[in-house]
Amino acid sequence: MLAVALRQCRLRLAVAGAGLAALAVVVAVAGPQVAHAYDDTVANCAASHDCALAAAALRTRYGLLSGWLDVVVAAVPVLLGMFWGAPLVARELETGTYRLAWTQGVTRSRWLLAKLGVLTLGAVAAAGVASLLVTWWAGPLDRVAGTPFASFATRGVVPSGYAAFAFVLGVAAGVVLRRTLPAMAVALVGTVAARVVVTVWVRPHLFPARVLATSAVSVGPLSPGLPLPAGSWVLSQSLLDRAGHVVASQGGLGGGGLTIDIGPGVRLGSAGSCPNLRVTPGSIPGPQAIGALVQRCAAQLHLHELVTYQPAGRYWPLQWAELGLFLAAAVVVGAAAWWWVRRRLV
Amino acid sequence: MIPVAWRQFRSQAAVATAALVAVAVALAVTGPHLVDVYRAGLAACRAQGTTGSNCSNPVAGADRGLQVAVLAVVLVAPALVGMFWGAPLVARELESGTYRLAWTQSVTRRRWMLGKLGVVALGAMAGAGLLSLMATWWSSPVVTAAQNRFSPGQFGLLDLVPVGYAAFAFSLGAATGVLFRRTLPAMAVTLAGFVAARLAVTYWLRPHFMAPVREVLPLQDAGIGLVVGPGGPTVVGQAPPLPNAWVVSTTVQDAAGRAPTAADLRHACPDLPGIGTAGPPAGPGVGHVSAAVPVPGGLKAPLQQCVATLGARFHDVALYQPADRYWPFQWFETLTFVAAAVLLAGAAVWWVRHRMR
Amino acid sequence: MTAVLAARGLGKRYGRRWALQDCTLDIPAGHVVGLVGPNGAGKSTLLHVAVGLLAPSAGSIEVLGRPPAADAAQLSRVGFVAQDAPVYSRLTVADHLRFGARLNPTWDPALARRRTEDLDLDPRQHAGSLSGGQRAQLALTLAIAKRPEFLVLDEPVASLDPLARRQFLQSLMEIVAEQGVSVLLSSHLVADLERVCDYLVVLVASHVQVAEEVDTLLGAHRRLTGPRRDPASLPGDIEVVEESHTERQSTLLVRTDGPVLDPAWTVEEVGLEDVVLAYMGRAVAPARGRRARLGVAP
Repeated sequence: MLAVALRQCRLRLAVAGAGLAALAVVVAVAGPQVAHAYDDTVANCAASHDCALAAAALRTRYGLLSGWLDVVVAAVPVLLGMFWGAPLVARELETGTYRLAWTQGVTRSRWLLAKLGVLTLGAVAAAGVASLLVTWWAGPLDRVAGTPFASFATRGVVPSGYAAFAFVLGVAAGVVLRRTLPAMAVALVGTVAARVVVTVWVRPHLFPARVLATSAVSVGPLSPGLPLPAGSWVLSQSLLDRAGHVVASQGGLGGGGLTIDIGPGVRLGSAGSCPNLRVTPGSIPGPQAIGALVQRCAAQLHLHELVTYQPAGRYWPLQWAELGLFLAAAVVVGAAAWWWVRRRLV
Repeated sequence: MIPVAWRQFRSQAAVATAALVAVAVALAVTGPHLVDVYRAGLAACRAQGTTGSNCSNPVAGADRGLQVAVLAVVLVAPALVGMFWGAPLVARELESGTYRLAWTQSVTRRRWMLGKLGVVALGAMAGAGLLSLMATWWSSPVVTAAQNRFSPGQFGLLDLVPVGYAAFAFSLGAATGVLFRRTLPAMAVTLAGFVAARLAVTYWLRPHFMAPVREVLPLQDAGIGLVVGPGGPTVVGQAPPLPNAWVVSTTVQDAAGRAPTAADLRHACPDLPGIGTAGPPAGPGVGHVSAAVPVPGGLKAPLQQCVATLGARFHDVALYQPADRYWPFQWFETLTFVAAAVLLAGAAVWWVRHRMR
Repeated sequence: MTAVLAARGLGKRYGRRWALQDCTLDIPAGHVVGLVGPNGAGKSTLLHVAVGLLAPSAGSIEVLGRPPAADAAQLSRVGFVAQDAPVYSRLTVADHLRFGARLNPTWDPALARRRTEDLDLDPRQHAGSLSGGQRAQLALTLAIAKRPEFLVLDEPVASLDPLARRQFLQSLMEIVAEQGVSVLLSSHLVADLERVCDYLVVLVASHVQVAEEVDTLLGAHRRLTGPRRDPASLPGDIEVVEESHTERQSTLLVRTDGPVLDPAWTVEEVGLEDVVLAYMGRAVAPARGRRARLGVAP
């Protein structure tokens, strides 16, 4: 049965292979370019003190290509769910060929499990290869990114989990709906919805988030003012006043929250002002000086920050956890499809 | 023929209507919040005296997830129309054999094709138009604040062009369905073809519709930003004050085309010690956040002096499409895609009439 | 009598394979014509060319005096029921009638309604859940309610049970009696054709072997049984269609215009099925020394 399943899936696997080959060519051509650019600029940035600018320049130059490659990695699971999963059983039901397939010398159980097995492995492999290629290519860019969590969903092992889930969801939709096109729509919408739900509500809480309450105040998101481990994933950030009321959220001061005014005295938006603090005239205050001024004003006004975050060290545990989550979901949905085929599709 | 085509299209239209209603409800519920945030940001800026692009309106980061979702929906909708409405239009009849029933009724194949194509194309364009209308209305606070409606990223998701994209994707789907006679391969080819067409037009056709305007602008202190980095303050060229224009490139250079060096800056700005070289210009819609810190009040005069000195030699050379060209570009792109749609539809009709026998 | 279908040297090729070759045929009006032959003979191809679904690769064909599917008016004059009676499974029976009404200017709604009622078809039932016999009847209704002059059916009863088959053919005969429509009906079940057809065309390996009225056909063929003899010894006006010999006996199926007077032979009449089988067999392996004689319609 496995051999038969492999033979019937030949064309699908070939098309996927061709797509991956094209992706590999793109990555092979563009990869050295990024690496060179990185070596030329960022690797030596500490000496000339312009790391932030070098990083920004690298991001601007390769941002577009990086975005497109991310789209490709994100699209692979959805496309597999639509084009591999939905038609697997639905087409046989629509065209009537199930009457041939299910009256051979194998039970429909074995038939379904063999086809599911071959193509799930294929989906996992395809998404894994795509993710591997793009993760390798984007290595330099990820190193200069503020946090590796920004590109979490299109790197590492999680795309394989998405692909397995999307494929099995497509198969189940085809089994229940018995028609290919509606099953494709369900696979598309269902995969996107599952991804959104997990990204927004589940992933931040797969491990208990750490909470940092600090009187250090940040001048903008992820500024060096906050004593967070480098590369942490900030889940939420709020600025609280003495009474515990939230004064600004999502970035604290300066980053879409309060505006900082440094003229005569220091003014922190609507949180208050410190007219007694002044800038030394005739000099340009560096970020440390401005930071110190803001810090002193914040201390004067009794403001403090409350930050929930996941430290960078949790990146790989979260990857494996999310992979496990989606694989488990795929197993559950696959079992439901198998049960439906055995019992309900009589 | 038209009522028959409508009857066959009914269930797909129902699904699309339900989706549009859901989107409409979601946008109607969340829209006013964005408007409030925008207005509050405007008021705050006015109170501080910053105007135009210097005002960083918090609406850019408000409901960020929802913004991305709306963009994604408008981006993907035409492709879905092509795959789910266009590809199966004829391919399904060919696969299931019902073409033998349809083409032996008393309508010629041409009328049958035109009826089916026309009804569904109109539905696709109407749906895309409604979706685009709702999305443009909802995101207008964000787009007005960022003044980036003409930028390559946003242009294709607003106003009129999604209608053209939907018509094209649908026709492409119908034509590939006729060519391949099978729905699934037609869907895959439609998706790939549509993506390729969109990319090609955005990067190769649209920039050449009209030649961009080349303007030499004087340096302004609004055009020069003071960025305080770890190594000390640096001067960064910022986008010229061209709101809602599509800035193709902007460089600070002298008459010979050279950028200011560190020596030039030190020479021109003696009151700003430790100044470094100019970095990459930031522009509207480019998408990265400038880490600028507001200029302390006591430094405003020396900065203006510095800019005036620099401005004697250096200018801001901007290559851009002016804001008032936005609607001509929208119409051009829409009509281009609609024309391509008509061509593809004609090819499909010709193929059905003459080659499918 | 005018011909409803006149083909001259008609051929249809798919790639390099000729599905229909050198087909010359005149089908007279006012008959129920059976088109019979083994699978792969080109019956479906011929019918699809006749209704305009396919274009000829060689030769010419005229249906009711004009090229097939030349325009909407021509399409109105020809009704078609395709093999396996394809219907839109998600549309209801009533939807299908509306479909037919909209697309056919000569649609007769009263006739359509009457037939649906007589057949007990529930108008609100989805066509996909109809039985095979009901689907065939629905397809026949769609084809007939536009009052065509010529009705073409491609193996309409091939996948029906005997009762549904009988009901379908009965419906067909009623329609012919009522409307006087000419019918061309293909099948590989000769027994069914015998019931309804009065004209027969035998198509084997894309060539026409027989094309004449059934009565004439049956009247001209006899089965001769007698002691073993060489068929060449028979008189010239007797044509041997099929022969089989044992050690001592010969059985011949012959075509002859006059009576067989040789007393050595036992002469029997032949059923239609045996005649057809004989011609189908002969096309595959021609009889020794005798050229095939094609029946050409007047």
